[in-house]
Formats: sequence, structure tokens, C-alpha cells
Amino acid sequence: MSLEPIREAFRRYYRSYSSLVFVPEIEQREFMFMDFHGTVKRHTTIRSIDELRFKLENEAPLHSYYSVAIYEDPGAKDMSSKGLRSAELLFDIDADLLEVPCRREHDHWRCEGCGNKGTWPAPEECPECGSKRIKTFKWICPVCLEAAKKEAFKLLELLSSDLDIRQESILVAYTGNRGYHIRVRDKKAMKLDKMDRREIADHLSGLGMDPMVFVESKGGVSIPRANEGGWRGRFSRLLLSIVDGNPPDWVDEKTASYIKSIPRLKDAILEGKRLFGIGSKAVRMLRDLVIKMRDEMGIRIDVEVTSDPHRFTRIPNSLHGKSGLRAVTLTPPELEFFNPLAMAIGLKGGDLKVKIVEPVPEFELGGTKFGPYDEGSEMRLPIEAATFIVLKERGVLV
Amino acid sequence: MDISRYPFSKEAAELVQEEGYNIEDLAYHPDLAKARERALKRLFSSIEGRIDITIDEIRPMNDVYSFLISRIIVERIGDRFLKNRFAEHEAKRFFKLSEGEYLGNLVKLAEESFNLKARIIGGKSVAIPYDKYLELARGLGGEKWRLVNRDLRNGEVIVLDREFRRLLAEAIRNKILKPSEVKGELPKPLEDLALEVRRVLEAKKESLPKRRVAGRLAPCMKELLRKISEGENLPHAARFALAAYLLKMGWEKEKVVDVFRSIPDFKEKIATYQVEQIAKRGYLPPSCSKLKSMGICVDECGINNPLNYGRRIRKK
Repeated sequence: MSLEPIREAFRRYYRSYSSLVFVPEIEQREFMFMDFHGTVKRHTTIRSIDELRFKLENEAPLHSYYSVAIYEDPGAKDMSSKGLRSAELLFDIDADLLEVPCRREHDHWRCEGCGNKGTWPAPEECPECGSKRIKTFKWICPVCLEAAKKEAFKLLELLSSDLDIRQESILVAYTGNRGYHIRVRDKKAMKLDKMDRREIADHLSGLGMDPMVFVESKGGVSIPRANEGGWRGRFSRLLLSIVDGNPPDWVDEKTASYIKSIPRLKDAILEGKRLFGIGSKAVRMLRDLVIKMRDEMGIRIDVEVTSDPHRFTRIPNSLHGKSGLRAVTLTPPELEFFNPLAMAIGLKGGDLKVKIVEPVPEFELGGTKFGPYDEGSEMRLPIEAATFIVLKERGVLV
Repeated sequence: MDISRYPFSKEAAELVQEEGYNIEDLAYHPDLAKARERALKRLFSSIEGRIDITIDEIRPMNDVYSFLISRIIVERIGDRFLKNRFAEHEAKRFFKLSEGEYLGNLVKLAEESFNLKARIIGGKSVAIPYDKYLELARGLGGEKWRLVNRDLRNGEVIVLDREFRRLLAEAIRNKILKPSEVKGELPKPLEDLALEVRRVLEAKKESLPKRRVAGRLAPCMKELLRKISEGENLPHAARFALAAYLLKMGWEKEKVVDVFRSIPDFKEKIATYQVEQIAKRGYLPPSCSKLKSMGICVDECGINNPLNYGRRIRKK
């Protein structure tokens, strides 16, 4: 059976709720839609919010996006003739980039050659038949969504402390699937070009952090001072926490006690004094700690997304074609109490019959528990749960 | 402020306006004969890659006019190589001549001439808005200039006095490299100067080794070669990437050194040593993702190292 009943549900959703759909500076944005057959249409322009709402109500696309950029001519067919005026600074936080323990439990892969399967992570080629046609089946659960939220908060904090970007100019959007899009709309950020964006993305993720610059060994050893900003200051304060005996739990005991024993380290941290005669092992320890800090504290954003001013984000309150959940725009304070699997449910009313083709773990949507379901079983489920399973490719409509 | 050191400044421009010389005067006025002479010297130094840091102490305005005339001639000739060399010359000249300048004066200069609002903090450092910092630091090589390695607080990057001068030198470079509105023929004496400069320029270009075009080079590396041949000043990391790449592509060391001869601050001994070190240690060029983050990548080739471009993987 086709996905037509789901498309019909999308259409019903848009007919009831399209008044919630809103896009600022709509005439200057490029739009992109993917329909239920997988056809993507780019370079679309829309003149008014009514036109957009009408389009969603009638066409009920599977995915709906608009550009974070504002263009002179958003409909132009190639990027260079669009005339980029400015673009929101976009950050993509996706549970895929986070090391979450739950993936082993709810993600799996299947070989399209021989049908062999296993738990995440997927191999490059099938260990049974050697085929490279490996399909992964991803899922979302409260654990990975919470990890993504935590990462989003880390990002918000650095945007404020390092770049002085105020909360009023930040929009947080739940994508409707595995993560968040964070958009900065302040004047300075909107004007940044590709190279600047890349530099900011690298900074926030810690890419390019150089231990030789942080711990400089040239006529004595100098380290950043605690009152410095950015990663230098964070590193210095990390050292201070070690000296004071309350390091974060990811600093192992051996490192902590060695660093603690470096003479006059506190003077260097607080007063910027150079360290003399601390030995090469201490320097190595300090430099290794820079790398460790980068790995632990760097923000897991998709650097490519942030670097590219031509990217798209989901239309607020449109539905995500891989979950049926709503893309929800939030202010930073609202994020704290936001629970996607309860609050981003868009489809309501009616049910659909589903046949399970890949195992479905237990899950909760809108306060109701579902599953676990085994391969081959068939059942009638409320529309939001059925859609969720089908769009995650673990079930088909029957 | 001593305007002979800062002929690009707004203050200098205002003085020029006050004195009221027009383009005809720049070409014919006997009072500006010395300035014309100095302009020629300035441009010869630029072409040669030497820095002329002499200043006219008796009549500082001569240095301002010499700068102006030089710029007009550079624009008239319209040659990328010359323009890059001149920009390099003026950037380096500023860096040298501003040494020891009172920090408050530099901050004032930054604001008036480059619309860069900086603040002095703690006497020896300067805080610069991060967007301006990124704009100026992008041309500078070295990990220490990267945002991730900087003291960055509340949207400002903290830099030392010396670093601030380095960034201002970049602002001068950018200003000179911007296309200007000078168009059309100049008065005869200036055309004559331009002719003379062009002759020296051609001779210099003639003396540079011809670039060997070998095989299909990765687009990013081709772009680096193009920039170099136009006399652009590449950051260290870009030079490293190109040298490592060309060596791995089988170029001889001498040929690789030759490539760098057109770089404004080329030093035979240093370049030879560095190319030899890269060859000796067999360094690979950086991966595509690294090149991307360095802003060197220019295309989506779908490979992970420029060496894989066009499946011409050569192993040494």
C-alpha cells in the first residue's frame, strides 16, 4: 500500500493548523519541498504567507524547508545569481553526532544483499556476503533527544560567553526528528561570509585547537590565564579546578595528581607568570589535557552546515517526513521544558493498520506507550504512532 | 600622528583635500616633483619585494602624495601581480614604521581609517569585535590567529599591541586590493611614470621561472598556483599544503622552490630549506576537510585528499 493515507493525514494537519506556519521575510527566501514520491523541488519562491499555507494544505509535502539566507532573487537557478544579502547563522545539532548509549539499543542495520542484520554501528560491508548495500534503521528516544538538548544548551552558553550573542536574537527549533537547529539572527552574525562561518563553527566545536599555542614553551612555559575568554580561559579554569581539587569527572586521577604537583601552577593561572623547570613530561600532560578538553567540551555541531550560508531549515510547524512530528520553534527558555515526544505531536485522530517489517522498540508518543513490536506482526495503531513507525521504515501500511 | 608613516589614513586624506591638489597637479606641479620621484622608488621597491621605509622628514606630505601617485599608477596599470606586491609593500611598511607607536594613536587610526572600533584594555592589549577580527585575520597564517586559539570574550578578541599592528597591516592590504574607481588615461607625466613601472614590472616577471604545467592538478592547488603567480601573499599553511602536494605529485624540489619565487616575501634560503624538509620527511598535503577549514578548498571533488584528484595517486 502506498503512503497515501499518511499524506492525507499530513494534509488534514495542514488544513487545521496552517495558521501556525510562519516564515519571516518570506519573499526573499528560497523554498525547498520534497513530495511523497521523493521528488525534490528547489529554487521555489513564495510571495506571501497565505500562498505558503495554501501550498502546504494542498500539496502536503513530505518535507518542507526554507533558506536561512535572504536573497535578492531567491528563485534564480544557480547559487551565484541569487544575490546573497545575508543569512542567519545556523547550527545543526543532531543526535547522530553524539555518542549516545541508546543507539545500540534502538538502531540497527540490514544488508540489502543477503538480509543479514545487526545492531548499530553498521559495518562498511556485510560480514556475511560482502555487499556494501547496508541500510541503517535509526530511531529516536528520550535519551538521545535529551543528549541533543544538552548539547544545544552548551552551544547557547558559548554563543553568549564567547560571541556575546543575546538570547533575543536566537531561535531554537526542534527539527521534528533527531535534533535541533539553532539560528542566530543578530546583525553581525547575519553578515558573516562562508569563511567567517567556518571559523566560528571550528571555534565552537574546538576544531583546530592547538595545544602548542595553549601551552607555549619558549623561554619558560606560558599557559592561558583564568580571566581570558574562549577556550583559553576554559582551559585555564580547568587547570584551576584540578589544582583546587575538584576537577570534572572526565579528568583521570593520574593526570589530575600530576598536574596538581606542578609547582607554582596557580601563580601562572591567576597572575600569568611563566613556569620554569617544570620538565617535558608536565608540558606533555598539559598539552594532552588541551586535546582531552576539546574532545569532552567541544560542541558537536555539523561544521559543514554552519559554514554554508545557503542551507535550509524546516518551516516552523511543518511536519518532518521521517517521523511525522512537528518542527517546533522555541525561545531558549522554552527549550528547557520541551519534550519533543510529547509536545511535537502533529497528527491526531483516526488510526491506521501497520505491518511491522523491522523490529520496533518500546516507545512513547504523546503520553501513550507503544511496542515493542516484532517483525511480521500486524496491528491497528493511532495515526501518530503508525506514521512514526512507517516513516522510520520499520513498518508498512496494510 | 606622523602622517608620512600613515599615508593611507583618513587624516592624510583630509590634509590632501585641504591642500587642494588635483590630478593635474599630481602630474605637473613642481612642488610635487619629489613626491613623484618617491612614488617611482616606492613602486620599484614593491616590485622587487624590498620594503622602502625611508620617510621624508622635511616634508611629510611628500610621502602621502607618493603613496597616492603610486596607487593611481598601480590602478592605471591594472596588473594583479603589481597590485599584490604594492599591497604587500604598504602592509609591511606600516608594520615596520608603526613599531613603538602610542597604542591610543593606533586605536584612533583604526577607527577613523578602517571603521574598526577597538578598545585598549589593561594598557597593552586591544579588544576587537570578532567579526572585524575574522575579516582581518583570515589572511594570516599560523594556528595562533585562529579564533579557537584566541582569548575571545563577549564578542571581542583580545590581541597584543604587536598583533594589533599586524591586523591593521592586513586592513591596509585589503584597502589597496579593493577595486578602485580610477579609470582612463592619466596626464602625460604620470603616464610616463606608469610606462617606466610597467617596464620594470615586465622585466621582473620575465626573470621569474615559468610555471611548469604538469598533469591534472587538484582545483584547490591550481587555485593556489594562480594566486602565487599573481603575486598574492599566501599564509604559511597554504604554502606548506602546495609544496607537499607538488612534491608528492613528483615535482622536483628546485621546481617547487621556483613556484614560490613570485611570493612577495620570497627568501631563497628559507624556501629551499623548507621545501627540502617537507621532501625529506615525506609530509602529505592536508586532507580535504583540513583544506576546507583553511578556506583553501574551492570545489566539491568528492575525494578526501587532493592527491586523489583525477586518480593520479603517485607514491614515492
